[in-house]
Amino acid sequence: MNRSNIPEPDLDKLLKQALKDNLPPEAEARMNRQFLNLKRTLDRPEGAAEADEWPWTHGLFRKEILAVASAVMLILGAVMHLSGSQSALAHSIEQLKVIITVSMSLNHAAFMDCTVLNPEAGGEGTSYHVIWRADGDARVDMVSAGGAQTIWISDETISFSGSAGGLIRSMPLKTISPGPVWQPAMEFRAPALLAKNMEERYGLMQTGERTGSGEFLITGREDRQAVEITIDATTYLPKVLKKYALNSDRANGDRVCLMEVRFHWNQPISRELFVPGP
Amino acid sequence: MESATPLNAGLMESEEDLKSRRGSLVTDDRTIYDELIAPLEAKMMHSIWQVVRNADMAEDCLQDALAVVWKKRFQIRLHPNPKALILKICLNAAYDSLRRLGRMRRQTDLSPLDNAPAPPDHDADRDLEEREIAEQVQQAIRRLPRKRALAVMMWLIHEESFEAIALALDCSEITARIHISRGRAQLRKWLSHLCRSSRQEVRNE
Repeated sequence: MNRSNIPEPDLDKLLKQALKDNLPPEAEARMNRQFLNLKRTLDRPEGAAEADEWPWTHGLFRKEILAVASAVMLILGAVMHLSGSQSALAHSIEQLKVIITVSMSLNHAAFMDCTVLNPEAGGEGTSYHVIWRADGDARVDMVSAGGAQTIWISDETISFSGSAGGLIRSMPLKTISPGPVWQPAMEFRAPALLAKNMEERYGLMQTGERTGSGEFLITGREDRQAVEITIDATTYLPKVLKKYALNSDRANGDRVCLMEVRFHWNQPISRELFVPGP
Repeated sequence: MESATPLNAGLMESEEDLKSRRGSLVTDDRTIYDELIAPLEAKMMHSIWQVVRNADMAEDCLQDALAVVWKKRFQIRLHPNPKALILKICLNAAYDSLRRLGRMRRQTDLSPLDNAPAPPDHDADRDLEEREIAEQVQQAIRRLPRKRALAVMMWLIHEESFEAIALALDCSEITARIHISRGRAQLRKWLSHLCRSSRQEVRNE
């Protein structure tokens, strides 16, 4: 249709008339309720965690994904009912579902802050503080009896303090890698790496053991260590990861914890901390 | 090379110093809400309403939009035009809602006016006509490709600049102009009969 046949003012007038701004008080009140709900969640002491859960329970994916998930569960339920091996199949599905969900949550994280306690490293209790943000930057602070050191890792570069202390040097990751003393922290330097380890290395064997309200436990093995990960049941993000020596398992009473990692997720971290420097 | 094992040498900083430095630099969620969402509450509600024009749908849309905004709050804070991006998210939710409504109507074959409350007698014809026009405009908007629809709505409802629209849609300004131009051309084509009748009304008056 030729533009001159229908002048623009007609179209604009028509569109503005059809999309006019006459929000009725009832609709306004109902929409205001949504803002209040979110604000109320944020104002509660436990608000931060709940607010991260908020999109999942109040909106995003609420209808479509839940509907699809329900349909899938119904079909799987029917399959399990008709087949003989109910428990094994259900168990596998449950494991798979949990691991995929945790992996997705890890891959969608925006910020990570975790503390790695590794009593065995260096022999005298070494701790690491790892911070990461979604554009790929990470910073690892190591505190040991020998002092504190920091490295900064970006996509291609690693930065560190020179032996003189103050001078920061950057080198391509291809040409240098952190020494063995940094290794305990390296597997937690990015959520995607943790997700990969959970899927491929930890050989998760058991899921669903409740450890308290709002959490559940998944367990696995890595070499000669037992791996236990406490997952937040609302965000599906890890809260605590522990590794134990396998030969000191529950039968002997106290288990020897080789590593404990505590995670905090999606709390904004200043970009200043990711800039290499004193 | 200054040292054979450069990573073992380092900055001497106590754990307490590190903790206190980080604590002061963390931004809490309430601050994010106050900075990002609070100033736009009214605009978010009005822009959703202008498109969906139904209280149930508007509430659902706002819920969806808030969920997306909250999930992407850190990216939004870093965006060059957070306001335009948030309003685009609202219009996106409204557009999704219109499309869902269209699908639902096709499946159930319900008239859009079946469930609407009856207007008062004296304004009955006028209200009915307005609602029919609004319905046809909504149908036309939901037929547009997503980016075209969003660009037209941002331009028309929010009167955003081409630059702001481009930033919100993550495209160049030229592309934003093309989206608007093509979107309007399509709307003109689909709504031509309404434009003619509106011209006729003016002539009769």
